[in-house]
Order: sequence, then structure tokens, then C-alpha cells
Amino acid sequence: MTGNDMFDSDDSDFERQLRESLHRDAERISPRDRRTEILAMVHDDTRVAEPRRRWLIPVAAAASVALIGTIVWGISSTGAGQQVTPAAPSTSTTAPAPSGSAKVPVTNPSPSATAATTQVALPAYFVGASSGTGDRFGLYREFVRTAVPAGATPAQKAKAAVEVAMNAQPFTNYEPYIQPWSGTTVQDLAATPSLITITLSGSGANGFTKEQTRLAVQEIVWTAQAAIGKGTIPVKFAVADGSATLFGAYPTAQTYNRPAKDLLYQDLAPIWITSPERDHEFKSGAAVVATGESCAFEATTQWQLKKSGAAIRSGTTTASSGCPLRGTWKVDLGVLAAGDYTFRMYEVSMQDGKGIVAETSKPFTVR
Amino acid sequence: MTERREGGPAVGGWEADSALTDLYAAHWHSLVRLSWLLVRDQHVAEETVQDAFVTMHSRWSQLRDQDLALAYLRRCVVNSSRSVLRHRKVEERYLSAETRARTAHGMSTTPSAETRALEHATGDLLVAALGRLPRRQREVLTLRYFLDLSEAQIADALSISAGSVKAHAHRGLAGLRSDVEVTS
Repeated sequence: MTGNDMFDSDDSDFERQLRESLHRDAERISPRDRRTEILAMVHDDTRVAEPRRRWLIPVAAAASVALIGTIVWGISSTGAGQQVTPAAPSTSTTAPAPSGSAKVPVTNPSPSATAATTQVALPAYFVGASSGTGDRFGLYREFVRTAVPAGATPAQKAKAAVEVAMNAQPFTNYEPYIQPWSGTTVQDLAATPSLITITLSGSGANGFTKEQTRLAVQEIVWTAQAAIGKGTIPVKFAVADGSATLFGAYPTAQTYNRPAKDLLYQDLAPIWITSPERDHEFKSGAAVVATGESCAFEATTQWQLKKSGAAIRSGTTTASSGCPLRGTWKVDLGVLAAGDYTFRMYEVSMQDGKGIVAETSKPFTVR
Repeated sequence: MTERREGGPAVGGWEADSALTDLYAAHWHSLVRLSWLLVRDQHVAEETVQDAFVTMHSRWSQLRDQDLALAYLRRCVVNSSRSVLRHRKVEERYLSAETRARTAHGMSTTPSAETRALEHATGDLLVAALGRLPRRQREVLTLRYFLDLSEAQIADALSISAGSVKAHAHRGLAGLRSDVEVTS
């Protein structure tokens, strides 16, 4: 304590209780290591396109800081929008970044970019198999670092996020994501406080089931809304070639939105592991805690900790809510010996007690 | 000390990196926890403090002192956390209005981060009562009893006078006592 300059001495018991309560409360979280990411941001993540001159670097850095500090709302990615609310909070409110040493896919900046760009972490949703048998699908969220123009508007960031979400290819080596938007690009994204309008180059790829294409539409809705960060603004689509539907089934004349809170299971994969992130490296001696979300019967899911393909520990966890509501769960794995691990979370069928109705895994390392 | 080298490579280079590394090692956890106590969302807290470190690094040519840099970090964290709460309130008002409307696919009622935080609350009476205090009183008491800052340091972090710190602290403690007595 740096000084008793404010309070009367007879408050000391109460003050001590308050101090202990605050410290106990704060200890409930374990801040993840982000030093690597911070250093990357201050050094590697602010890039200036040709011509590359040294004096431009601090300009780009300043632009990067301005981006972090300011959201200018409502300007379309083509600059045709309208500024409504200046000086809002940082990007952190809508685009939490991946932590520490996790290997996060990074998209390449557009080769046509001629202005200063900066890297930001954007939330993107992907359609992926949610069961081991691959017959059920849902949306998974990834935080992907990608280049946006320095000082990008929310609409510009949303366009970048949608571009990421429409290209699952970087993930397909290690996640069961499908690519229903293969061959389709986003041409424009405009946002107002009441509508997000996305113009696509085409109406989507062929060969996917009705449920997969429905989720493909919804992944764009979730991604655009998350990147804009202003709640569930309805999303409307337009197709550059004049198509009246997406995937031949979803009219562009109507708007689309996320489902209600008790219907999120319609869109989201039943189980998400939010920590550890894929390939995250924990320092040896540090406690490993797995966290995530689920929508499971009676909020109950099973977990396994695997090493070299074999389960070395397992257990059951109960989320904060059971389906149809989505709950959060936490598994404290404690301090682990150095090595490569996989954390698997799954839900067993209540019908036969054997079948796996949902599952997902994340590899991580302790060094 | 007053030299300004906005475009020069030396000041913003190794020295800034070194300061960032030292400050990170010493204060990352406590600053994230401070932000978390204010916003109740770990992702947001980590992002807030991460942004503060990045900004501090870019301002190192003006700061060039670890104590000044730490004070700057605290101001950034408190201000950004406050902005998050403000933004969240605006968003909740907007969502509240939106849920009265209908769209083709229905409207989302995704719970706010505050709601989630309440759902996860441990039931600590004092902490819960602290959350019900006016924002400024909550900030003063959190800085005082979590970071153990002095009156002058709190005044600097919140950009208010020392007298205001004292007043907010007394009112906050009185409010806490009253709230806890009523609740218990």
C-alpha cells in the first residue's frame, strides 16, 4: 500500500475486507500471455505499401494507433456512408484478439492495396462439422488477423471479416470446415444503424445441402454483425450478377439476422472450445484452464485430455446453462508436464449413451 | 528528456521495446485484472490493456520514463474500460429498441457481457455492492483497494483532483457499507 491518505483509521476492517474481496475476485481470471502479439503489433503489423520510405513508418504507426482508438461508425467500405457516432471505444469491444503464442491464421493484404494498412484481429464464422460422424454442422468462430486500411471504418473491417469468413481454405487442414462460398467474393459492404448491405460476386457454390447453405448465409450474417459491433443489425444481400437468391434458395429481397437467444443452437455448433486456442503454447509450470461454450442436454458434456493420441485424463463438466440456452464451461487441467496435448470436448447421446452427438478438439503445447 | 524525435528510429526502437517488456512483465496481469474488475469481460480487458501497451509503445518518445509510462498505461486502461461500458450501454439501449421490431429471421437477444458477468458472479456481497456504486466511486475504490494507489496516483489515473478522489472515496465507502448492511 502506498499511503493511508484518504480514510479514517476506524474504516480499516471494512477497507481490509474490501481489499481482500477485490483481490479474491480479480484472481478469478488468469490473464493470457499476449506479449508476443503486442510486440508483433508494434513492429510487424503496421505495413506501408510501396513506395516504402522510412519516414512513412511513424505515420503508419500513428494511423494504427488511431485505428485502435477510434471507431467511426456507419461509413460504407466504398466511402459512401454516413458518419453517425464518432469516437467510440477501441476495436477490442468487438474483435477480441487471439492470445499469446497461438498460431493464428493471417490473411494476406490485398495486392491492390496502395495505402497504409494495419493488421487487426477480426471475428469470422465458419460452417463446420460439429459431430464426429460429419453429418451435423454448425458455426464456429475464429479470430483471424487480417489487413485493413489504416483508419478503417467498421464497414471496411466488416467487409474484410466477411472476406475471411468466405474463405475457409486456410483452416481446412485442421478444422472440419466446408467452403460453400468457394468462387464467390464480397464486392461491397455498406452499413447504417438499421441495415447492413452486402454485395456478393455470385450466389454461392453448388453441391451443398440445404442446411449447409443456410448456415453459409448465416456465417456471413454473424460475421458482419460481429465486425460492425452494433448488435443484431439486419443483413441484406445483393448479387452482382442480379441473382434473386443465394444458393438458389434464400431470397435477396429479404433481410437476415441471428436467431433469438433460445434458438442459437440452430446456427452455432453445440460445443466451442475458446481456450486453449489452437496450438497455443503454455509455459511449463503454468496452470492450464480450458474454457468454452456449449448447448448440451442438461448442460453436461464430457472431456478428454489426450497425449500422443491416448486419453490420459477425462471428466464431465456442467455448463452454466443447458440447451436450448447456450452456457459456458470451464475445466481446470492444472499444471501439465511439457508436451503436445489435445483437449477434446464432446456430448454423448442421451438416447443410447454411446453415440457422440457433438464434439470438438483443440491441440496445444506445454513448453 | 524533452527531446522529441517523432520520426527517429532510436527512441522508438530498443528502448521502447525494453520498456514495454519490463512494464509488461511487471504490470500486465494487474492491469488486465483492473480492467476486468471494471468491465467484467476478460477478452475485453485483455484487449483494452493490449491496446494500452501498443499505444504506450508508440508514445515512448514522449514518455521515456517507466513511471510516466505506467501512469500513462493506467490512464489508458481506465479510460478505455470506461468507454467500453459506455459503448455497452448504448448498444444495450439499441438492442432493447431493436427487439421491439421484427425481421424476417427474428431478432437476436444475445445476452450482454454485463448480463453474463452477473450470471457468473460469485455472490461476494462487497464486490456486488461495489458494482452498484456510481462509476466514479467504483473506479476510485477499485484503484485504491485493488492497485493500492495513492490519492495522487488515483487523481492522475482518473484526471480529477485529489479532493474529488477523497470525496468519491468517502461516498463510495459509505454507499458500500449501507448497501452491505441492507443486503445482509
